[in-house]
Amino acid sequence: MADVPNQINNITLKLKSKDGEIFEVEKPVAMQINFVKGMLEDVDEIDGMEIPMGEVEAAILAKVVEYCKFHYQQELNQTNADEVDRWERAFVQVDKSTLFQLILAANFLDVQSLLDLTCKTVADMIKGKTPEQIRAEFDIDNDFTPEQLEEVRRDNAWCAEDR
Amino acid sequence: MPHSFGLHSLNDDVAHLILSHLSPYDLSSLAATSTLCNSFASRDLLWQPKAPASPGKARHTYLRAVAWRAARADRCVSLQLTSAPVHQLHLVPNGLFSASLQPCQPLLTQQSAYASVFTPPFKPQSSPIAVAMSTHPSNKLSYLAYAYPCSSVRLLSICHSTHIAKPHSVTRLPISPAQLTSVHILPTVHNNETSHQTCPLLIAGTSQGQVLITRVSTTTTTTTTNTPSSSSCSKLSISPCAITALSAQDQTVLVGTAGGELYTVDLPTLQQKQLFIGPCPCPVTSVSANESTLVAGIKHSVPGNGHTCAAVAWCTSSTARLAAFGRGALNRSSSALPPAATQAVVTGAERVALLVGGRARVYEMADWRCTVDVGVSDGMALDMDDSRLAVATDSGHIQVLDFERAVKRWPQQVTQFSPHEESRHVRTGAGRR
Repeated sequence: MADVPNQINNITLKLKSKDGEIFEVEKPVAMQINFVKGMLEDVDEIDGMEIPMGEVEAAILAKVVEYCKFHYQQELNQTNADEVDRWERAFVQVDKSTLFQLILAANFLDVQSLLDLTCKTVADMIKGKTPEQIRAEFDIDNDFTPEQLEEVRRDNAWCAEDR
Repeated sequence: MPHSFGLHSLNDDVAHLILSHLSPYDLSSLAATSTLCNSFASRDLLWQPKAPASPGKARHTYLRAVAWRAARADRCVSLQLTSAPVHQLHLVPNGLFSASLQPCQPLLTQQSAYASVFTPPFKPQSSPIAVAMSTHPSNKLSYLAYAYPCSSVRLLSICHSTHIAKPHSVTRLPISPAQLTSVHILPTVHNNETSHQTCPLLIAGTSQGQVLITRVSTTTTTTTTNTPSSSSCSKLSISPCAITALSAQDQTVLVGTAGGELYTVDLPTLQQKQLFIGPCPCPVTSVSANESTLVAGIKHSVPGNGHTCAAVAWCTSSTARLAAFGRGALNRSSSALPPAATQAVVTGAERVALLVGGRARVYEMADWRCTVDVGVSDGMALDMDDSRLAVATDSGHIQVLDFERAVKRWPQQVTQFSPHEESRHVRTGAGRR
């Protein structure tokens, strides 16, 4: 797992995962989650409040918080772009199930940069691969009938010839 | 992992975000893996339901492939749909590549498609600060204008039948360097309409609030030197604010400023009229008009909280109004976008297309009902006619949406936008447009 600096001092918010786990997160870190930010705009008193994070499970919420912490700290420290890039590459070195759950969580919680990062990671897994390689990568069953497959090949012949 | 590696669990916007990183080649590979992936990839390739007729599908696939190839070296900054041939598109990336696409024939060959991608036949002096494109009423040629910081504008014409680009003399504008902010090219209906010897009008805006109108000589040149043209130039002082958007409708130039003002200039008389003053100095980022209505895209700052969102101003013969889009998907990330990404286009069918905050939306002006709402996370330029919406993206794709088919695909995403809740009358009694 990538290292996350942890010298953040501030008011903490309690983020509650779907399975009931509470994450105490410094407010400026949590405010990077637009879903949280939006909720806080509608309440006067946040002390002790547990903010439900929808369908996001604890393991995934932990990753989202880790991501937000890093980026909060990175902004404070003006971390250079190469270091951020290295950290993000390490961050998305997870199994595919976690990756897709992170995409769903980033989308639901409205963390745009995390959504971009995770979507690009999936896209990178597809790039430059043949249909067979993509099936192997993502464990996809080929459910085309021979006729359908022929049609797809015909439709995409322009591409195959041009490669 | 379930079938289609989890894409089935993602909504349209997220799936599109993944697929938008892929080239047409990768998309076609993905489409060949399974029926579900085929459905996703084809949808992203075509941006519409899978067409039953293969010629149509092939056409759009070519279109996207060519556009991607043309633009991957740089971003798209201008896009224009032309009325006929029905499926013609023009793409102007950032001055380094240009493409004139004419994929209207179902049996278009790869060779002819790729032949239409070309590099401008001159060395770019530097990155242009603005580009504009316009098609001659004869529909036989289009003009591309590249405006440079040194106050010169390079003009190209592209012949639609041959896809050959001709460079014309550079127009030096009588303003100081770094004052040029925007440009528009207007093919004239005078002289010989079907010839390359027409005299287009070059319209330029400055940071000093001036609009310069120049009839440009279209003498073909093969050199890359900046030969000043002998064109006459009318310089109009329009506003104290910088000109940020220019367009034209018939014989009227439409002008938007950094201060949220909208003006028209009547070309025959050069008479100017102010239509609209924004409630705060919010830059107009695009301006468009049909026969009765002028619509402007505005990067709108909400007073008090400094929040930036998209707004549309529209002016008719009796009213001028501003509608600011409040919280919601449209507004979600607009503050992070460059002003150029806020673009509004109106058509004769009384529809407004708006590109902002990673979404392209089409509104019916009669009731401001949103009839098309699609995610285009890196959309950079948009155009619309009565039947189609086209968006050019930062990654170099052009995506085309056919309204007839869109109705079948997105009925569940229709949302209501009420200008009565979020807009205010700004000024009434404005003139035409």
